[in-house]
Amino acid sequence: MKQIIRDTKAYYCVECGKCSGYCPVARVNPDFLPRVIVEKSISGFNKDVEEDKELLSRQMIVPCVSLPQK
Amino acid sequence: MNECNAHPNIDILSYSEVIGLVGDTGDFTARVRRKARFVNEDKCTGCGDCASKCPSKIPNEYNGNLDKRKSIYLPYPQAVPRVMTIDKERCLYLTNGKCGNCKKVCNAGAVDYDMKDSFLDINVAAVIVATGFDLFDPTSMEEYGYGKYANVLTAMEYERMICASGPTMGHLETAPGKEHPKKLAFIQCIGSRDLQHNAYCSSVCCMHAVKEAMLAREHYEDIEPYIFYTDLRAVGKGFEEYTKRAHKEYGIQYIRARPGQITEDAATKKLSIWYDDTVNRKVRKLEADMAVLCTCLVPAKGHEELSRTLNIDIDKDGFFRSIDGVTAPLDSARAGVFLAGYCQSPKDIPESVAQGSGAAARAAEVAGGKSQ
Repeated sequence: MKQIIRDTKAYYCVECGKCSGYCPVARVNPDFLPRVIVEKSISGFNKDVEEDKELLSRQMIVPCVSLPQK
Repeated sequence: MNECNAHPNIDILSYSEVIGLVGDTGDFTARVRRKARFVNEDKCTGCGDCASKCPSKIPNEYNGNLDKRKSIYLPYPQAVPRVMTIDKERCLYLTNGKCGNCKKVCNAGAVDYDMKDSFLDINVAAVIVATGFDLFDPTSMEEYGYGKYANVLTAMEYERMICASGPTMGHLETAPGKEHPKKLAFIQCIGSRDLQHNAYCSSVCCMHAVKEAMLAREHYEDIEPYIFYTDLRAVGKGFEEYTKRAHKEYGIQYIRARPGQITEDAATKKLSIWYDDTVNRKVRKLEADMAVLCTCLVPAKGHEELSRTLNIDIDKDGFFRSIDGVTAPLDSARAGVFLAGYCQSPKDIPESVAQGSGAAARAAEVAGGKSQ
C-alpha cells in the first residue's frame, strides 16, 4: 500500500472530493466514495481499504480521469 | 492613472515593449519597441468618431468577450492615455485595403495607416517589472463544460456582467430567456491547487468569490449563492469576518467540495453540479442556473520572453524569481531590476500596492546613487 501511495503521489490529496464528485459509481452506490478510500489509505487505515468488499467485488473500476492531485 | 499620466516627471509609453536591456545597475540602456497603433498619439483626442463608423465587430476582451468592439478602439472607457488604437490583424483596411472609414471621419487627422513600429533607447538607472497576471483558460477542463454550456462562466465574465457599465448593464442573464439565475454556484480552485495545471494557490479567488456572491444578493433578493471551496482561505485583516458576514447577512452557503462534474439539461440549459459533500460524506447534486468558475491567475503572457530579455530568472510556476523570498522579495537576480506585484508571486491588491511602493523605494536608492 505504501508503494501505491508513493507511486500515485496520493499524499498530495487535498481531500477536495473531486474524484467522488466525478465518479459514476459513487452516484448510484452511496457506500463507494473514492475520496474516502484515499483518505483511509494515506491516514493508515490500510486494512479497511484492503478488506473493503465493495472495492474488491468491483470487477471493473472506471479509470479515474479527474483526480486533480494526480 | 490620470494623475500619473499628468505628472511632469512621468512618461507613459503605452502599447510598447522592452526588447533589450544592456548595462548595469544605475546605468541601463533599455531598448523599447513602440508598436504602431496607426493613430497619432499627439493628434488623437479619443472622441470615438472613428469607432462609431468602423464596420467590424470583434469580441471585446475587456468585457470577457460578452459583447463586441471595433477594430479601432479604446480597450475600456477610462484607458490612459485616451488614444485609439487600430487592431492591425482585424482592420479591413490594413488586411484587405478596403474601407478607410476611420481616416475619413477623423477631424483631428490622427489616423495614419502607414505607421511603422519605432524603436527608442532610454537610459535608466533601475527597472521595475510589474507585468501582473493573465487568467487560466478552463476550456481544457472538460468536466466543467466551459465553452460548451452557455451558463458556465468564468469569474471575469461574471464580474463584467454584474458591473453597471458592463455588456448587460449589470444584469445577470442566463440562457435561454435572459432571466436572472435563482441558484448561483461559484466553484473555487479551477486550475489552481491542481497538479495537472497549476500547483499553487492563486490567493485572491476565495475573497473575490465571496464579494461576487454578495453582489448577486444585492442585485436580486431571491438569488441563492453557493460557494464550493477546497479550503476557504480568508487570510488578511477583516477577511474572516467578511466571509462570516456574507453567510449571516447575505445567506451565502459554503459547501466544502470541489465539484467533479457539471452536466447540462439540453432543453432548459439548467446545470447539475455533482459533488462529494466532504463534511457529510455523500455524493450530491446541486441544480443551478449559473455556475461561475473562479479560475487560476497565471503569470502574464510573454513572461518567459521577458525573463530572457531582462536576464532575470523565473521559478517553476512561471513567476519571476526574487533573490530571497523573505528578506529580499523585490530584488531580482540582476542588480537594479526589481519586481512588484503578481508577476513575482500570487498576492492581492493591498500587497501589490505595498510591493509597488517598496520597489519604487529600492529603485530610488539606485537612482540616487546610494545602492546597497
